[in-house]
Amino acid sequence: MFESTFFDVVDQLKAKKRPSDTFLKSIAKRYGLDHLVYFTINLPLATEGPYYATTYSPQWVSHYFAQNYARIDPALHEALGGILPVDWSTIDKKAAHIRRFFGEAIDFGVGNQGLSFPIRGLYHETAVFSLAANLPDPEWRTFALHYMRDFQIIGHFIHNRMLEALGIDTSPRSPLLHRELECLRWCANGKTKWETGEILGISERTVKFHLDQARHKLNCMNVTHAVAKALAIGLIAPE
Amino acid sequence: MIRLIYGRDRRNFPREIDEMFRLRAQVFRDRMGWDVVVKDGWEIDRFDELDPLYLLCLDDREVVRGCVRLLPTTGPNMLNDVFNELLPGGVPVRSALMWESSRFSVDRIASAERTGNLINRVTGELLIGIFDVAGRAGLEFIVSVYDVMMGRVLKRAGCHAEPLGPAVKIGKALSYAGLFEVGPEMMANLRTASGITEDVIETETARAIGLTSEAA
Repeated sequence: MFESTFFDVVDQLKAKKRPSDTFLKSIAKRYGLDHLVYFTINLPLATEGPYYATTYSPQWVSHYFAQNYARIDPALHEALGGILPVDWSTIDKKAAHIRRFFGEAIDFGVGNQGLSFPIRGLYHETAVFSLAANLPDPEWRTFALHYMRDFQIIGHFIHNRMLEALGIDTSPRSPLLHRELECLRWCANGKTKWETGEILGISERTVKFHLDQARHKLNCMNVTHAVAKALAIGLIAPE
Repeated sequence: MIRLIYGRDRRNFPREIDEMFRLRAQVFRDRMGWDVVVKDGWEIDRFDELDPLYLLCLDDREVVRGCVRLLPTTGPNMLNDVFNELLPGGVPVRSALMWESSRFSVDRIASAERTGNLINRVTGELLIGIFDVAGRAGLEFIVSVYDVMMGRVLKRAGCHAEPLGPAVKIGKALSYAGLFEVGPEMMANLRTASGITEDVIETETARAIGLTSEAA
């Protein structure tokens, strides 16, 4: 699921610069999620804002704003200033207003489960990327743990897209290093991480690290995407 | 037991925070000879202003015996912004799947306590705590600056470190930027080396900050 999902998502991004609601909807659909929302309050150089993209119904969005729910939304508060993903199922719902908030969210089709990922950027900016689903507890726990890594990347990917759309450099002073390019090149030639490590005389772990660094610098969703991008822009040459 | 405290929630844990910053002064200024600023007994720097996540190791009487600080590498952090001479070409390392661990401290008495061949309890709990939290957050790597002394401790702890760049003298000893891989292999190594089989993270504080529980 991981690979094909990413490829589909990557194709769509060629056409669009800024993450749109439709783009979020396509990710949600592929992961079997009910909703996704990205929200940031303090982008560098941004004069207007807050910026957000969401798959929530316009009714829930306007209700959320009309009720000023950003003031009480516990997932949002827990995520801002945090670094760990916030699992909505851990949120204390004893207070009446919190119970009402989650009850209304379910009525508006948000979903009964969710995760909110804090995003920290280089310019001290913060953002929150959330996802919601309708799943019973045990399935939800398995799902959340299984895809945690994917969603960490997707959240940052959307965030960096947002910065790029505003003309902000997402990896300043970070050229791809010789070793990173070498790892990409061997990967493009079908070598596994272990084989690449043997060829270059470094550990498999270090190969994995170099490839992840290349992925991040190229703002890609995974290593395959990074190899494709490196070939497309001529960073590495095809065989 | 590991208590998780965010920088933003500092004022809710004044005693623990006070003990932590004092412990850091003891370890980094007094023992390691790093050029750190200590004010009113506290070793505190600009990265403490960035709402890090602190892992505090408390003993049975809830006294802070060890601590460590975690920050995402996608934002400002110590390795990239202060110690980048430890990285090849000085080029920062960043990824959504990697956090930086810094200010790893264990108090003098705790670090001398040992049972057989096992590493001391506080070091074991802190390391297990870091990799447990990182695993639950979906991360793949931890990066950290460590010196040769710490390198020996890590080795005994089964905590495999991969140096990323050149060794540079910081304080009294040569130091490296090390890469650590998050995963079941790391956890198994740490548990074997420390003899700690149970969960180390305090359930209530984990829940209070929304940490996903491990799959049943």
